[in-house]
Amino acid sequence: MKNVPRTYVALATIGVLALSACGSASAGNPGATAKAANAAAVATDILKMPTIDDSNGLVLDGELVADKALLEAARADKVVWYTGSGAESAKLTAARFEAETGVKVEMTRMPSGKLNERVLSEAGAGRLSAGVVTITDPTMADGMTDGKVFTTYTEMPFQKQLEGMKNVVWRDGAYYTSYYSAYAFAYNSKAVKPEDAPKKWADLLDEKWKNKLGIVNAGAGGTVQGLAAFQEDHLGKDYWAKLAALKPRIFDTTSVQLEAMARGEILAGTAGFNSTYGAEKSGAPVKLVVPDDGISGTFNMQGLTTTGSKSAAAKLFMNWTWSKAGQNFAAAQGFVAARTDIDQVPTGEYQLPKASDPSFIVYTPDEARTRGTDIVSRWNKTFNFSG
Amino acid sequence: MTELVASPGARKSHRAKGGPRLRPARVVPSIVVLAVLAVLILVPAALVALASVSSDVPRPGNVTGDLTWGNFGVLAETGTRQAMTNSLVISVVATILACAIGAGLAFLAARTDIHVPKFVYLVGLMPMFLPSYVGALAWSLLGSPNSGLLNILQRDLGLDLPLNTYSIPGMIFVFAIYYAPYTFLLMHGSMSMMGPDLEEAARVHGASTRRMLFRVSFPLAMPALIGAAILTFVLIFENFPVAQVLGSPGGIDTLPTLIFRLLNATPSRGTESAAISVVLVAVVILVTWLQKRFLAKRSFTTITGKGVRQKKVALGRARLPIFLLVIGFFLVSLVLPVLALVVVSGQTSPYMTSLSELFAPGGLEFGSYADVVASDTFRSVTGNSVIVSVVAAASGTAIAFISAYIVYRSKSVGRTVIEGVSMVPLAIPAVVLGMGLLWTWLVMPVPLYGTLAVLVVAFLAVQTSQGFRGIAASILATDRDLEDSAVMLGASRIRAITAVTVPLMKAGLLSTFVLLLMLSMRELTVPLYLYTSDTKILSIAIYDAFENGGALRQAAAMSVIYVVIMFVLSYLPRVRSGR
Repeated sequence: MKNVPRTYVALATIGVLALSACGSASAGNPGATAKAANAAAVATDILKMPTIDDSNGLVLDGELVADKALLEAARADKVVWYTGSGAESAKLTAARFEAETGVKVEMTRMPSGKLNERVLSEAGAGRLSAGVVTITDPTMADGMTDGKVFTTYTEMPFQKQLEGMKNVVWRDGAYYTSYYSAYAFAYNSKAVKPEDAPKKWADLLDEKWKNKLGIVNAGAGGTVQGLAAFQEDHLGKDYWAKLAALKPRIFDTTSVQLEAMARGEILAGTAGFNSTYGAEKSGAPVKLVVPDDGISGTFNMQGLTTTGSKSAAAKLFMNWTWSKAGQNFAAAQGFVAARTDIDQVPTGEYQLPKASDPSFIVYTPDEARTRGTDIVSRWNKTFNFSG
Repeated sequence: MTELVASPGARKSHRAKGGPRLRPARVVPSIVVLAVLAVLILVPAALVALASVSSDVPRPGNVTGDLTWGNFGVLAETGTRQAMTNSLVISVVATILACAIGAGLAFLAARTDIHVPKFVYLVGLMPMFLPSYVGALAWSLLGSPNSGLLNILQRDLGLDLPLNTYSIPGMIFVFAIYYAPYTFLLMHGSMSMMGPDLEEAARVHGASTRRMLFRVSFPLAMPALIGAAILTFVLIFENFPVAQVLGSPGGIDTLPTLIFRLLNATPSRGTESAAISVVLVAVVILVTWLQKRFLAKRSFTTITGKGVRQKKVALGRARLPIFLLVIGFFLVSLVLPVLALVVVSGQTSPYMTSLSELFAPGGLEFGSYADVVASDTFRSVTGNSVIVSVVAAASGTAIAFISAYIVYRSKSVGRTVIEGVSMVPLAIPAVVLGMGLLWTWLVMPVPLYGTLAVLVVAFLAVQTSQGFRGIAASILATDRDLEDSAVMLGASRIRAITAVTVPLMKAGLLSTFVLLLMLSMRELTVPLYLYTSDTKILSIAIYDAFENGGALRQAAAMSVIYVVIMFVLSYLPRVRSGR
């Protein structure tokens, strides 16, 4: 019996430890600043900072992003941003935005499916906290418009330019294409000699890759579904069958596939540009290929929410996303910029095409709606994959 | 000696207490507990059930009332049936193995003269320190067919043994290792407090040690073992990360990977995944009912408070070989995976053709640890994780004790309902239950959503089954005579419980607390629906790091630090309670 209080003492000890751990974390505000500076430094390493002039509103690289009133109100506010994009990219983008604008961001990232459920549920219960939502699946963006999550926002300084571009403004400005994900292929640069590396899509079908390729199944998300459509429409009706004959390893997520490629478990495979470039920058021995016979592109959508319509910071985040500075930063991370009136900034040593380039083949929201189910079910059949 | 031994005393006092009248004391506690469980579990579960028969997902603001049975059609699809078969084969075999390993280690640690029993205890517990997705990734690093570290080592040594974790045997192996601690914890509680009377009686009547063990000791531990087996089976059955990391690359589908694909499909097939969950719930409730019928016929009381001085079973000549086996298990369950993570966290290049590259200049460097520890994010998510886990584990243990007490010790109205409800969360895959919890706490008129408290509440709901089974095993093994004696001598029932029963069940309560603590530290899927930038926890940070793929150094470093935190957290209560 004497031991029982000791158990409670143990619990109390842990509780105190926990509280002190928490205390030290929240007390460490200088640490927080250092951390933000660190992430911003990484962001700078990816792309040189633009020239910033905030003497009368916010002007980045000579382009007006926010007038004086919006900038001041935004700096007294913070953006609550929910995003379904990759963890690293979300972190870098938030840090870069803070560094360029001086406005705080609270970023919450989760996979698109969960993000969709959460945002719709929060909105349905009247408790939507996000001011801006970024989602990688156009049909979900549509659902969010129907579910009164997004609200029309047409006050960007470059609104006219955006409206003149193809595939950028949706549902009268309820949401916009923020940038495109680009999908091609990559290989392990230590295990594959440069002369043996695949250069065109057809090279991936060489017998030498049998049992050595890795792909992500077409049902795992919008980007891979778009890739499957691209392969079938532009590389030949029998591309899937020829690829399937090489017995590639089929993964459920890009991250597990990338990890296998870095270790040499698979030597080459189809790959998303942004995530693969991030892995390469962190030291993984992988090299991307920009084939001249086409790159598959899918939409990333972003909109201002009903909650965000009351937040200056959220509006400024929207403006920044489509500013030259914001678009260039996305391009530098391995996305294709949505704006076609600016040049596509290189991604490290790689030069992706502009969105308007004929070699960049996008999988439109309409196609996703009308062909998606059929593509996935036939893909599964060809690769003898259940899903 | 019969197979199972009844304790007539316990029965008699049951009857003496039982009467036909409904007294408030018999109704009020049940109602309170049921109300708590209803909010925690039934509301989210009801929303999942509603989803399974709705034509559209019934999230707040979208309850249309259009009902359909069409969602259950998914069960007839060929893919579903194949996945179901794989899931069943993997779960059944892995459960048998996990129970054998867990029960064996519990027996060795609690009841034999094995070398360093404290170490054996830790060996039984420690696989729990790795969340299953980290364990699966570690085993993918070790045993993938081309680039697994063990396969590289084999090539270095000129060996060619087939070793491939991307296979059904590989998955079974990994599951068995990482789920053995459940059985271990439940069995250890039951075995270490087992009264020696019946064993003594067997010995006095001339039974050999082996005969005594198989006819008396092991049967007495049956409730704990059956409880553990059910728990393990269902948890393996619905585990997604291991199937994703090891199964998919090997072309092996399971039900959870299928649910994942249904939820990710465009448009999302959330209502159909809810339908699969409803079937799972039905199966689990049926199994629980069968278990209850089986247990109801016998008494398994072993803790009587009379001089618990167990005789240790002498292992004799097998003492050293068995100890070596334990060390072997320790190697594969913890040392190798953690070593793999350490190697990866220090590896300057993830690609290797020979292990000798690690020892070349610049082959290994461990700067990633300093980065992780210095990062403010890491400290805040760790703080959040520890707070949420300790509070969830402590309150979860309390709720489980009260529920199990009402179910097994009282004649309260509705006690079977309490047990049934407690088992529901086990059967709903976390990814679906997460949705139910999100909907519930969005519409509840209490401002918990967006705080750490909502994570605590969600963890309580998710882990009710584990907590209940843990306490149930311990309460079934504790004699109620002592508590009743205290009442007869004038103590109030509450005082008798806190002063007699709780101390007697200390081992079981502590085991359950540690179990819930580990589970909370590991929980990933449900918090993904509920966290915000202020309430991010460690498991999500590690998941994010792994999500970046290809460059695992930071993720691996974080995982190693995480294992250390788990070790400290699980060890503290034991040290403090003087065990």
